[in-house]
Amino acid sequence: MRISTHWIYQRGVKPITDHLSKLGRVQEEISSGQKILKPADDPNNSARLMELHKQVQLNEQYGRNIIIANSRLAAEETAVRESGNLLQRVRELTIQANNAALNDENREIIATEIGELRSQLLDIANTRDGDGAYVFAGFLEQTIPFTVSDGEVVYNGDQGQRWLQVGPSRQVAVGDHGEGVFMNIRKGNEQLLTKANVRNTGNAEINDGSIIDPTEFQNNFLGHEYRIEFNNDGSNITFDIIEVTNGVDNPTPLLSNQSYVSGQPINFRGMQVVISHPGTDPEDMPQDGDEFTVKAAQDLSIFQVLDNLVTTLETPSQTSVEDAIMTEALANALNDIDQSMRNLNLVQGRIGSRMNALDAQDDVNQNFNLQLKTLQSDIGAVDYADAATRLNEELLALQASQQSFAKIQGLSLFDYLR
Amino acid sequence: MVDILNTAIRGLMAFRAGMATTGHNVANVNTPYFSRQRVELGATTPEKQSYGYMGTGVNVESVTRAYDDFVMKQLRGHTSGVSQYEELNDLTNQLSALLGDTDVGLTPDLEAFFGSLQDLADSPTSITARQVFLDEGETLTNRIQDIDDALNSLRDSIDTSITNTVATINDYSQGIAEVNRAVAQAADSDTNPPNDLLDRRDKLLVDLSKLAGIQVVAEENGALNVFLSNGQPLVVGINTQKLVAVQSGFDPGEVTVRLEGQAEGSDLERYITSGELGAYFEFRRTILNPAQDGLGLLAMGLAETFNEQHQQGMDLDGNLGEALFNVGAPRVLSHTTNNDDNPAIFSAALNNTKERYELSFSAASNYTLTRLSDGVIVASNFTLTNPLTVDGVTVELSSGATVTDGDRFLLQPTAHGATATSYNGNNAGSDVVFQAKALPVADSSNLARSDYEILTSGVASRATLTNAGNATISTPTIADLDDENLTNTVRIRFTNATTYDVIDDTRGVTLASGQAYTSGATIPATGDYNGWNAAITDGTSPIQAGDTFIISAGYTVKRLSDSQELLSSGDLTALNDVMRDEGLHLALRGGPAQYGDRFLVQPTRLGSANFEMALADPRKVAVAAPITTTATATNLGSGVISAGNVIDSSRMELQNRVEIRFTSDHTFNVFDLDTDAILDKGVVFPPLVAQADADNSGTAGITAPAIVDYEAERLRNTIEIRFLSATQYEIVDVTTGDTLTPAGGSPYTSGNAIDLNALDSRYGSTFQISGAPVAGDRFEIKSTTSNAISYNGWEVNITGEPHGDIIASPGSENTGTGTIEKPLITDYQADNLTHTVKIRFTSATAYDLLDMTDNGVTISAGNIYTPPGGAGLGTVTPPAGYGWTVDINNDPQAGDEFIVQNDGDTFQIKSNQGGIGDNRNALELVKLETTPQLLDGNDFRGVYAQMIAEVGAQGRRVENTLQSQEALLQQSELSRESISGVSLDEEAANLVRFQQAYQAAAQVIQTSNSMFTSLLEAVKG
Repeated sequence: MRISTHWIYQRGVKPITDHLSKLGRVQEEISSGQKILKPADDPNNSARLMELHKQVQLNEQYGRNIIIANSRLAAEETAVRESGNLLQRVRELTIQANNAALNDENREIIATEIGELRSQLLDIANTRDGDGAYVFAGFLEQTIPFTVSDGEVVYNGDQGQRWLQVGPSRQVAVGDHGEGVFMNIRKGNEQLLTKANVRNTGNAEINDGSIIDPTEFQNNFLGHEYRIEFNNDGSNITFDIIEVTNGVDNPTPLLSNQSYVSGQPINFRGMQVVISHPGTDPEDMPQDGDEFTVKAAQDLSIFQVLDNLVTTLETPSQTSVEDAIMTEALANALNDIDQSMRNLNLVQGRIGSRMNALDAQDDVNQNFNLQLKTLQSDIGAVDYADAATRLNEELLALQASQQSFAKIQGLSLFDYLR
Repeated sequence: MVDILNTAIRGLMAFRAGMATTGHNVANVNTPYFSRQRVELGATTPEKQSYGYMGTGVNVESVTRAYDDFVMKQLRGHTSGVSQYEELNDLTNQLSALLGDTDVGLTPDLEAFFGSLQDLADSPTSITARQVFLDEGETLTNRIQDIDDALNSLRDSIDTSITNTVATINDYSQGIAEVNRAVAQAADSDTNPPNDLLDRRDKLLVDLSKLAGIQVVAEENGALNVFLSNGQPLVVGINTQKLVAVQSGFDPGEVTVRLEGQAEGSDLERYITSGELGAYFEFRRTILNPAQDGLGLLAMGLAETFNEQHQQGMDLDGNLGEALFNVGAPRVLSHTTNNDDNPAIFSAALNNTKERYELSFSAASNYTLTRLSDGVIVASNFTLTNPLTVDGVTVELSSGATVTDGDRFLLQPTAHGATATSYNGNNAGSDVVFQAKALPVADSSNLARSDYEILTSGVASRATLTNAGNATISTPTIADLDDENLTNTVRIRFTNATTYDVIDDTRGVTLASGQAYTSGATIPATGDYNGWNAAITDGTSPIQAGDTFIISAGYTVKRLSDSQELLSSGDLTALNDVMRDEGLHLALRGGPAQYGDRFLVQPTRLGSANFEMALADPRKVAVAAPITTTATATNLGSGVISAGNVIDSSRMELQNRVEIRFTSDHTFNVFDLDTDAILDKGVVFPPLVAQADADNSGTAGITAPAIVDYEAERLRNTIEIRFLSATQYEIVDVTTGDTLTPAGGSPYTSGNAIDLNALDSRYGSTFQISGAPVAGDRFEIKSTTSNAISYNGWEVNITGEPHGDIIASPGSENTGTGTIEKPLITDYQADNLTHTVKIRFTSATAYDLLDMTDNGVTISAGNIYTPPGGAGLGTVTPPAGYGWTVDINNDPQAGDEFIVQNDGDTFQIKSNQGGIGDNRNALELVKLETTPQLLDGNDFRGVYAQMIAEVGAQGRRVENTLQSQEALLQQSELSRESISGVSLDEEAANLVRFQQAYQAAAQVIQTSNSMFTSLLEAVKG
């Protein structure tokens, strides 16, 4: 085949430029560390890399969210723990106060300390977190959640709870509203509250009571309180059960003239209580006019408990009746404090399990992150060994084409003619 | 005697010519497209001598060039290809650089935007976080606008390049024509062609083929004619046709190419497919436009979905969120050749899936359906004996519904299905069944990334929805295309069953009246109306007065991405039905569109041009949810209410205070405390639902059960209705295993009420099955676990066991011994069931009733009380509306009072004003980042990645094709070079050859001279 002079030059230069451009490409790959320099290099993997990049970034965001969640929960936990400690102190004081040896003045001092503790508790309940938001106010974060109104502590927040996204489909609550922590604490055995009147002269006791017919209980018991009044004429002991609605007695007793047997269950309106007295001493039996109340449990606020306790302790108690009343009240208060502490424990437990969940989710996120980054590098990162080899190949090829061109273009017949 | 001198001289001349030619070749070694020339030597005619023929020397017969036509044709073709792909490669790389790759481009801005949103969800009260979010949004919109601007610049530069290229093509054409003329003048024979001129022409042809693919045909006189690949001539002999760059028919901003003097609409764009010009067109059509569309789709998707969710939230000041983004709208372009005398102009908008309608009924004018977004009455004066389907929604009455004069219903599709609510509380919303076409939440998820072309292709007909009869009308046939009123809107209206009028609504002219109707006959029988004919044929139900048929312009719609025809000659309603599926809604102004009018719909091309933040005040970022819920602290039951979420933020009552009050453990009433309205009464909790089994093969449906006895013992049991055959069914209580129907089943009549309560009074409900079931079909009625409660545009869930009750108690100062029993609820639907009522005895036998909830107003006075025993029962029954009775026993006295009140749990839903720590709406916005809601089920970054991947794939294709085209070009160049190229070595050899020959010839002259001298010497003597 005939080769023209023009072609020799064409043919010689083109490979040189080709090798140069390939060399340039290898160089770019090596210096950037990326195999895929532009989408046209590998459209499919290019799209995959973008998707991976997004996942990695989402993961990092979840990590940030977890940090924020942890700090909020830590703030809440501290407050709850301090409240618990505070209540523990109150408990000790209450037990201390229930000593017959103390007089009014002593009790007054204890009352003062409990008052102080109550104020402290109010402060704790109004804790703010790092952003200046009230921790226990629900969504109304700029509103002081607990304030004193008419001598009573009221809750001004709402029942909102904030959640944060910590995983692709995982949200964790980062707070509890004040109503559930400090205000709504069920008394008694969660459903029923039974009480013996402090002025009772007999020694009969009433148990906690239980629901034996839930339907009947739901339909008929709720909405009223019930008072069991004893009549004791010396030989017969009978009792009436009186229904009380909104503080008003129903003139017709629910049950009347029931004969009393110690330890025998008394059933009405779907529930059952047992009143019993120890021993056989007539003094211990329910006396004339002794009363017991049975009602559905009502919610209770910790502050109210403390306020009631302070009031109780400040009441002078001189007579044995007053003493008995005092003891009864203190026993009730202790019960309430225990209930409150149980609730705080529950809340603390919830916080703890949330923080555990956060840790677990963080681990999952980080593992996932590792996988993603590995995949990213598998797809997009350059293999240096391979790139270095290619670099050498291209250099060699370039040198070879340059040298061969130099040799060929120097040949011409004109050189040999004369 | 042969003249040696002459022979030698001839030789000398010839060899000098040879050397001259060699010198010419050597001089032109570097001239592009030069074909090496050769002298053709031929021996001259010999002289006849007695001893034979004596040669007389050599002659230069011609100077030819070494040239191959076929190789040149190949070369031109490959040159076009290489030019085309080089240009495409260049443009694609530019585009790729603009859009960026994995690390640059839009991706970091999208990431920063979503990151700031997550941070905002973490710290909803922080003004800084809100400001950062708005700033990132601004950066994102600016970036998208920047990219869009850059794309538009690329578009402009392509337009400029097209214009320049066209000018250059015209120059080349002119040059070729001139050479053609010179060649025609210079050529005298085939064997003596003007070689250098021909070479020059070849060069012009190759240069021209770089710009556009051409075909070359030789003419007899040596001229070459040049044609475009579709046969349009550029150069014919010495005449040229100029190309002009003109505005495209649809888009004044786009340049296309036409032959000068051709009519509008004859663009050459689709015929120019190679060369640089072809590259420009191909790039614009297949790479640039889709990329800009993709960007627009991204912008519209972001705007739509974010705006919608943002408007469901509440900002720092307690107001509902406003729009976050503004974005461009779809556009419809009219072709320049469209009729411009009262032109038809289309406008397009994204289809609104949240369209709300009002259905109202009056005795005088039946039902009217109004679309609320624009107040347009979609259908009027219709009865709902059959379901009505219009505008993409279906409306029907549920069985047993009683709708009375003045009733109005609000129909709205929600994310959870379509609902109907009654405005005036007379009927339950369940009287109307409303179905909206199931479209996904975000409108833009339906937008195909394609343009649509609408052609007015004829005339279409339709029977109006509200026709009482079901006669059909045929597709009109066109008798006269040139009739200027062809596409006018014409109504054929029946005045009675056999007579009709024909009215041209566009011109306001009656074309015919009192025409006699025959089923199936052509209308009109002779001639045509406005250039068309149609036929109306009876259906099963006869035509009645008022039935109307409409003839109007018919449109054909083609989706350009896959050239799929979506509609063939349908009217405007059919057009919108089809476009609705694509996510668009079209409206027409002016018109009507004339036959042949064309329109181009570009749904997303302009999306990103006007994409900007609509919000600047950080206080207005709606992070919180607008409502919050509370369970009253004194609730006795264990019911828990969820935080609630918004399903329709356009409801004005959304933030009204609403109270859910339980009247019994399983029923509640709902009150709107701000408007003092009863939203619902006697709602069963958890609700009872009826559903057909998914495997049913029959076509029967079941209505929701109606409660007859709320306190029925087995009300909430799961009931299964099994069909033993198409006409017999049995009912089984799955919870207890009892069979309620007699053995062999009960007969089934479609549409009849099935009263479970009558079968067994422990079941308390009735329902209806209608349609055609088959043996084996099953239906189930049961208490659901999904207890979503929705009013006023929000939805909450109540879980657990709430308590509800009505209780009675005696007054505190009663003197008598009257006792009051527990009240009995007789009507759960009573309006005042939850009011506190005081029974005050005025004497031992008379009492007044006072409504204490209503400020102690007297309900009724002087009621007679008959003590139990004897004739009376001691029952106190308040008037209707209170829904209970109660027994009072023993002896009430004058002045005694008894109170009856509702003791149930209450839950409140109210405005979340002040709830700035709430981040619920931010969490919903965050979800938008990863929810797949755009094209092909991608999320936002997925769409962007796909866009870039497509550009990348095109780039790869172009690169590969370029490489192969370059290889082909190299081959043809090699072929050409090997035939026509100058080889210096060869010329050197030729030079030597001719030089030697010249010297030899000179020597011959010398010899001849010396021979003559010798002769002269010999003769001189």
